[in-house]
Amino acid sequence: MRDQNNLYAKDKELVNKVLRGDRGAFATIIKNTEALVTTIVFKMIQDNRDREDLVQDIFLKAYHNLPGFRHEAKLSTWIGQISYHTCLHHIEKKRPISVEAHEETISKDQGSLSNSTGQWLYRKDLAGILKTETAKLPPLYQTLLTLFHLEEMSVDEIRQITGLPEGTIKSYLYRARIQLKERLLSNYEKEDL
Amino acid sequence: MRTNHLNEEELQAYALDPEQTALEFRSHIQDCKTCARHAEAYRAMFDALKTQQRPVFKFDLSGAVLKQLPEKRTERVKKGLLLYGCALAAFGILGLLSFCFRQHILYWFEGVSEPGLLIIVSTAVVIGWFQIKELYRKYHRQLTELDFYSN
Repeated sequence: MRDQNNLYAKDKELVNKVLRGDRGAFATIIKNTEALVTTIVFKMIQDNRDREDLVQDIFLKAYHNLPGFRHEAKLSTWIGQISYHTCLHHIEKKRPISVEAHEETISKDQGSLSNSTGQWLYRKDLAGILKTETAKLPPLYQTLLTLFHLEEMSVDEIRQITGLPEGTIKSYLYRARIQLKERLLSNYEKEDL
Repeated sequence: MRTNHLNEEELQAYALDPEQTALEFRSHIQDCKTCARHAEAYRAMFDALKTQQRPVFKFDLSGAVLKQLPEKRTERVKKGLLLYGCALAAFGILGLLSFCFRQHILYWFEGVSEPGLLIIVSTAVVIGWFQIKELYRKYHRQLTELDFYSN
């Protein structure tokens, strides 16, 4: 709780400095949130040029809207929210985002694994396979998985960023994990043949 | 003792935090090779997700953004000055009118004791101050929201 209050106080100090015209303070805000914003942009946007333009747009938008930031959430969450919605808006401009369109039938046959699956997953270049297989998931699933597992955000924090109901986030996370696991295992079975 | 296999939800919960999982699930996983393999697959996947390489941009993001920021917040300062100017002018006009029509104003309060007058005036000032402040905050919030969605 004290850490949380400390964080809010630091956020407030940084925001006030920026509002007084301190550009160095804004550079600090960029440095503090760059990893989160980059992760969201990379997971949601495929085109590299678009990513570079969008990430700058996000921080410019954050700068121009900083006077309206009311410290109801962490500054990083607020900037994450801007990132998510800016990317979503960009995707919607190009084509409608649909999770269902990417859904695949998931095999529920639990007995199809060979004995060494677990060890195989550790032994193989799991990071490389995971990167390839994650990229095949819908952007929304990729974003949710990354926010939860890599950024270690709670479902509530993800809710604040995405605006999705908690139940929807949990359900999407559940389905994304199953899809990813099935893809990893089918990858394993192919190599095992 | 649970005899049927754990479902995907239970396997995910176990892989995320085995300690928080019900004892019957844990003991089932210990005895059931199929569930143990699935749980292990989830666990390996979660570990890999947690340690995946973070993407990075190959250009100086901070420098690129700072270059695009307006030189100074002059517009903001101008807006602030305009607001204070208006408030000062309003007070000036009000003061002048009060001075010109002081006889009439004093007539309204004839018979009211000095402490009573003080209470009336200070209450009116406080209420007025909060009303103006709220009005400005609301206006500022609406402008910010408009700005946010139009950017």
